Amino acid sequence: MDKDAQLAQLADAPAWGNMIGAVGRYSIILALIGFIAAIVFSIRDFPKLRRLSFGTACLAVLVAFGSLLTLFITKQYQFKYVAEHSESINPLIYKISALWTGQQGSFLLWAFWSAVCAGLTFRRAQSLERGYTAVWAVILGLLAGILTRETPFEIIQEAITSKGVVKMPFDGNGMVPSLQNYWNNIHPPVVFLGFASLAIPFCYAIAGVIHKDSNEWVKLTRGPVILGMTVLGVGISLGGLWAYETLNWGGFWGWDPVENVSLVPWLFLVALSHGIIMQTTRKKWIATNVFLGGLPFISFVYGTFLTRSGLLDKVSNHSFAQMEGGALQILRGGMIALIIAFTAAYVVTLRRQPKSENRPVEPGVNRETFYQMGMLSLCLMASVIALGMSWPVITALRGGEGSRVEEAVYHRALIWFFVPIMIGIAVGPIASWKREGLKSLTSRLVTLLSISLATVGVLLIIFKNEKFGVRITPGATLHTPIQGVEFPLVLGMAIIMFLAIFPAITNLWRAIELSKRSKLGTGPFIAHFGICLLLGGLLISRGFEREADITVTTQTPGEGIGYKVAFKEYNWEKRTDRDNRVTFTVTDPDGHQFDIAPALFYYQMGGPESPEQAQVWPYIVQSFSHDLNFAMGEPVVEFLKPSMNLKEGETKTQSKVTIKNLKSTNNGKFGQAGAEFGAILEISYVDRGETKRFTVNPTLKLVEGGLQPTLHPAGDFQVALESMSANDKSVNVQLYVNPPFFPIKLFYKPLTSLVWIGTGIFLIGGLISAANRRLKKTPAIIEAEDLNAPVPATEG
Amino acid sequence: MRGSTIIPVLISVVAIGVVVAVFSQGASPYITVAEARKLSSDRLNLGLELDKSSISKSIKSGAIEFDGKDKNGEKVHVVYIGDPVNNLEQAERVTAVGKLDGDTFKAEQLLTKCPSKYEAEKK
Repeated sequence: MDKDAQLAQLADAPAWGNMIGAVGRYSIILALIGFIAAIVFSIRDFPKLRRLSFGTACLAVLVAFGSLLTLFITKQYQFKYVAEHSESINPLIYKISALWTGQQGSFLLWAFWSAVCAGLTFRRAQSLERGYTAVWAVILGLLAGILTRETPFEIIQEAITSKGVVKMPFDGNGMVPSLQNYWNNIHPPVVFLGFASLAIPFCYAIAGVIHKDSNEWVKLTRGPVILGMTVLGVGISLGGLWAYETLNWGGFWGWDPVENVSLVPWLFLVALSHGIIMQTTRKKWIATNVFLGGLPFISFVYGTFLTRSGLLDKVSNHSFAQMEGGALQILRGGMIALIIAFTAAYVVTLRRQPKSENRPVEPGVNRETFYQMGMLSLCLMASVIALGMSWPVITALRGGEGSRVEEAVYHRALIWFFVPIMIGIAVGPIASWKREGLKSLTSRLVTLLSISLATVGVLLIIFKNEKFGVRITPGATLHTPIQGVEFPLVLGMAIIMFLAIFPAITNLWRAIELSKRSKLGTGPFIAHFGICLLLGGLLISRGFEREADITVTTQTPGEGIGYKVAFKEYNWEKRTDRDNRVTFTVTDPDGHQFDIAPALFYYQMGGPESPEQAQVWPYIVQSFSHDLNFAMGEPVVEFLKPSMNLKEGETKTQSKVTIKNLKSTNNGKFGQAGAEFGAILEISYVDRGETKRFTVNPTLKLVEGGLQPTLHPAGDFQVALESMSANDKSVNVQLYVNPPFFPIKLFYKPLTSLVWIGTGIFLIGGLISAANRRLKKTPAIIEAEDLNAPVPATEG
Repeated sequence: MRGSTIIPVLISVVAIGVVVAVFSQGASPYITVAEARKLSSDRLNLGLELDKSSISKSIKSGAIEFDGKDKNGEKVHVVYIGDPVNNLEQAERVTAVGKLDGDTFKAEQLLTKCPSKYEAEKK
């Protein structure tokens, strides 16, 4: 057979490799059966069988994940998914991270962490175990179902001979170089662990309804919610840092749909974590918490559906491939079923709620007021972002192509929710549970308010004084939320900075004050403080950002916003070396010199015939006061893409350059060593209104080892022949930019360091909070303490 | 109880209403060349099939120019000045964000969708 003959030159794939793939594949099927059995044994109450089948199924998911990881590490390219996402030259860390660079692998990662979350929690669900396990089994069953359709364990059909022998392809296709970065080993696993944890409150909420329990589930879900919120929050932040360090736009967040899919559930989760405090300490918001318990997971499933169904193809830069039809049906059906189940659960809870007697509402505000304001704003903010990411789909329903919500519009809409959230974070921790007048509350806040205003003032003075290393563009303006109205940048930024600094200071003060009584009780305030620093860093680095386009050639330096950039070196011989870097010497406005080295290498994906592509990484000079992000674009070397083919006497224009082949020249015969062939070319282009014309005679000389082209300067270019046809004597002409130039975009971003520091502090605060929950059997000790504690006095 | 439920619901309804209005007014529409002539927004999203042989980069200004065809087959010349873009030569389709000025579409942002960006190409 023809196919077999072709395959004969390939070695047989190792039997153990095929076996591991089969283990993975059957593990998924076993898991699916196990989860279905767990559902059945939950309905007909057989606790032992339920635990056995559920536990086994969770283990089977872990085995499947382990199998795929083994296939990647041991280079089993007879498997389609492995071959499409990895190649043998990749170092081990990229062979591991290649696992989640595709559709199937990322679903398996989600399933893996879900099995871990479910496996670790289901035996701790106490009286809710039966319902809790059942809901988890439905979710995990759906994921296993999707993975049977979207399987990463498929063997390449073309690699199987007619006798059924599996052959090993030479190599895999390789991993997209933009993903060959250590961040790809960090961000996806962390963020997917966060995503998986979203199902915990969802399952508990529904289990609570099934078992007619409205309080136990909240206590059980508390620890996982705080941990999940911490992990997902840190994961999102790491994603932003990944974008900042590797993409060429010098920012952290672009309101891309895939980014939003992670932010929306996190905001709901934050609202839930505060709702839990209200219920455990004040016995309030019982129905609200059921509602909030489901929203994080449902919004995540909805977002997953939206981004992977191809509905947002035009919008998202993440462009996941569209899912396989059957798997998409499972996802859609599952999503609808989960939403229906959840809505039913919420309605049941509402109906079970005792009709509360009409307590007279006391006048004034208390901590609850700020919880309410903050949580409502968080939920609205999440809803608005969800609406924004659905906007292209919604508007397309009205006919036409639809429209997209961009950064500026998001900011204009979200600022209205951002302000009350920040006020809630600032004042909530200071307010007491007892109602009091706004006046008495403000009087206690005066000191902290003054410190905050003073801090803003000091920062503005620092920003105005160039000595401190932060420089802002004088006279710049900022768009206000109201279209068409503009603020002076400094005034706008002063307000925004105050909104980050005021809550940072009140929470810091609260943490210090509380640390005397309860070290672990400081967690929430430390987390708040971290979030405020993070937001402050994001807002200041974006708001006071300055940028410049700098064009540097190998001969002439470029300059922008006071920074001079001069080319130093690049090793063109090692152009495919993935560690290759271009070195420039930068002179800053104070005359200090330092070197920067953005990465630049070339690669081919999908075989030697594929076009060569350039991969660049920006170079970031970090300091506490500001970052300098040098985003270098692909250098312009070959001007004509593709090269121009000209017969004798022919004239062509491409990319605004006209080339005329006046006459073919030759010296010797084709095939004879030393023979030289060429063409007299006339090259003309317009430079600043003036036509420039050059006549050159580039040639190809036949030497040992091939054809050697000669280079001929013509104004901004070097002209060379790539090839010549023996038949019609037509030549392929290439123009090389002379000298090659590097487009560099320099972003000057003040106080970006706060984004890192804030993320770290948030992580510490979150972990302390989680530890606190675990240590104390009865929660809410801190809150109870607060209730009895004297009203915090900041005055005198 | 009643009063405390109604107020948040009312706030939510008003807030979402305002946001829908903001989005309706401010969202950037996906358009064709013919529609671009009629609209005045600065952030029109023009989806184009790229004519690769027309790509040129200005050494002096850093601008990238190319020709493209919209889905109705209408041709337009695009001038892009903005952040450096990579892999433009590999992109089949681009979304140019900007406005039409005479016969030239002035783009401040280019969204390229390479087939290989997240999913590797088949061998």
